Parts: sequence; structure tokens; C-alpha cells
Amino acid sequence: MNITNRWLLPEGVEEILPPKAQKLENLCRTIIDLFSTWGYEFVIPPMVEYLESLLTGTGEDLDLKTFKLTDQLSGRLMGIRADITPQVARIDAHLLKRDTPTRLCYLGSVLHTRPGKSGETRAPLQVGAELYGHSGVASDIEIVKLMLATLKQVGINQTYIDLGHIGIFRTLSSDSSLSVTQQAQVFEALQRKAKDELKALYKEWNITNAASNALLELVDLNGDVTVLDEAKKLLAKLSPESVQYIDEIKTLAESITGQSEVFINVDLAELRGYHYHTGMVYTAFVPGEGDGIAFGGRYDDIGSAFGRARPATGFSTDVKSLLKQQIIVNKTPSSIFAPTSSDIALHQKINALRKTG
Amino acid sequence: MHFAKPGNIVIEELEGQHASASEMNCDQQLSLENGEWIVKDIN
Repeated sequence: MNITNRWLLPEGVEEILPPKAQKLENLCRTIIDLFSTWGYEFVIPPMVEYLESLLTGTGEDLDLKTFKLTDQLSGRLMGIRADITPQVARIDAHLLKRDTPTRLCYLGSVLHTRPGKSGETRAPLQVGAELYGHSGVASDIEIVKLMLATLKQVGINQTYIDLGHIGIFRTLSSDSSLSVTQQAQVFEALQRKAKDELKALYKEWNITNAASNALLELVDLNGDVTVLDEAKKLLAKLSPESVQYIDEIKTLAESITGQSEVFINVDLAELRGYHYHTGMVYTAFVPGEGDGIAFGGRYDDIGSAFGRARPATGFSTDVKSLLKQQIIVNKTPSSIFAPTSSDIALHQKINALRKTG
Repeated sequence: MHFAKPGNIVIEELEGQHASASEMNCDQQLSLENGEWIVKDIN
């Protein structure tokens, strides 16, 4: 190793220098302060945990993203967190044990074994808010409003929000005659909106039942809120449960309709976080960016893995990617130069200035 | 990580540092006038 490559950081791992680091810190403070004004209590989960605690109830995706190491004290396998949400769910279920709705927020670095795509960070600075103990659509509405308020607070004025519902896919899948393996293939093709490929698979499997065909139609059910009426027509007789899910999306969409510069898109084939989420899912986009900037959804099942099932919904975002989008330029605060002097009056003045902003 | 609102930034000159206020990214400085230390803009 020569002097040059000794300084190399691993791919996707970066250090943040002045003045960007201060701006990032200011952004963190702004967001946490906003969360606290909405009644969200701050928690600080650990960077590493035993692997089974980190991965319980979260599915294979998170397992693949998690760095593993052996604890020299216990000999047990530990993981460096790749997502803070399951840790906060554990805190709610296992440590706080409240019966009332509980609002928690967090901020911290996470580490991913691989970047989401080439050039992306493997060490996001995740910030998020979670609401436990309420199963109605009102808690989803609160979380989406907080997500939008967060984006607005950091200077993002125009937001596109994608709404979906994992329950629709789950219900239709269980009503279909598809095997678990086939369901996984359908799920994968739906993610890519590959309708022709799905049709070919159905033909190969000789699948013709109504629920499977409805799954196929999900591919085309995306667009403005009028998509929800189309979906209701399609599923009215076939799946009353799915109709209820569609109504939930409609209620959520109505609650944010009219917010200036917020554009709603419904996508019933949006299955991000399928192994983890159980209800509505929402993704916020900003103009000119193909990838979402903030992600959320309901994940009622996760607490049961920690011995106490609690309804849960929340959202998170990466502060580093928010910083890239930040339009409000925080003026660097002015600094005052103090000359070298042993004058006590000068040091009293310096202390007074440092105490007041 | 601290979430308290910070006060003014005051950078103290170190003996022998040989760097001016503007080189230290300061746009104001403490000056002694009529026996009182006051904050003045650096022109």
C-alpha cells in the first residue's frame, strides 16, 4: 500500500468536509426540530446489534444489505444496521411497551453492503419518523403530511408522491391459484411492469382464474386518482378486501389534495418493500430525479417478531440526498475574530457572544 | 450531535498564528474602543 491508496475510501463511502458538513448538520437539526414539534420523540438505537434482532421480520432484502461481523465477547454474529426502522419498531414493541399511540423519530448512519445503484452512497444518513399503535388511515395521513412538511422545510417545494397498497397484491395472490414460487415470479414481473412476460407465464402455467387476471391488470392501474375508480370497478365483485384498500388510498389522496406543488400519482403495481410492508406505501419524488427521495409505508407485522404486534407506519429519507436537493442556501454564519489579549473583559465578552446567537 | 441553537462564532487569535481575521473567514472583529470591547464589521 503506497501513500496514495492509503487515503482511499471504500467505494460508496464518503467523508464530508466543510462547509458541506455543517450544512448537513444544520439540515439534521432542522428536521429533528420539525419532528419534535409534531410530537415525535427522539431515540438513538445502536449502530450494531445481534443479527437476529436486526433482521427479524424484515425479509431477505435487508439480510443481503447488512454487513456481518463476529462479536469477540459473545462469539455471536452481529450486523451493522442497514435500516433503522426495525430497530425503532423493536424499541416500541419491546422496551417502551406503551398502549397509546407512540411517535418516535431517529437520525443516524446506516451501512449497505452494496449501493442501490452505481455511484450511490453505501452509507446513507437515515432520518425518519414512525407512528406505532394506530391502525387507521389517519396515522398514514399524518405520516405522509409529515413527509411532505419535511421536504418543504428543507426547501423542496415541488413534490410528486406515488401511492400504492401492498394489501391488494397480497389479497389477490392468496385468492389466486398461484403457488408460492409462482407468486414470487409474478411479483418480480409486476415490479418491472412486464405485462407480456406475465401473460406468457400464465399461459405456460395454464392459469386462467379471475384473481390472477386481476393481478395482471395491476400493471396498467397507474396514473392520477381516477385510476382508483377503475380499480374499484375491476375488483368490486372479486375482492371486497381490495376495494377497502383502494378506499384507504382514496382517503389518503384526498387529505393531501390541494396542497400546493404536491402532485399525486397512484400506482397499484408499486410493491416496494413487499417483504416488509403490509399496507399503504408512499414514495416522494422531486422533479428531474428518477429515484424516490423519501419512502414510507405501513408495516404492521414487524412488532410481532419482538413479541408485541403493534400497528406501525412511518417514513424515512437520506439527509445526504436531501442536501443535494436543498434549494434554500443557508448563509454561512458570520464569525467574529478576537485578538490575542489577556484582558479579562475581552474573555467575558467572548463568552457572552458564544452564549447568544 | 447537539440540537441547541448555537451562539455567535468567535474565533480567538492564537499567539504567533500570523493569520488575519479575513484569512480566518471572519467578517467581524472585536475591537477595544473607549475601554469597551465592541463587535465591528471588517471592511
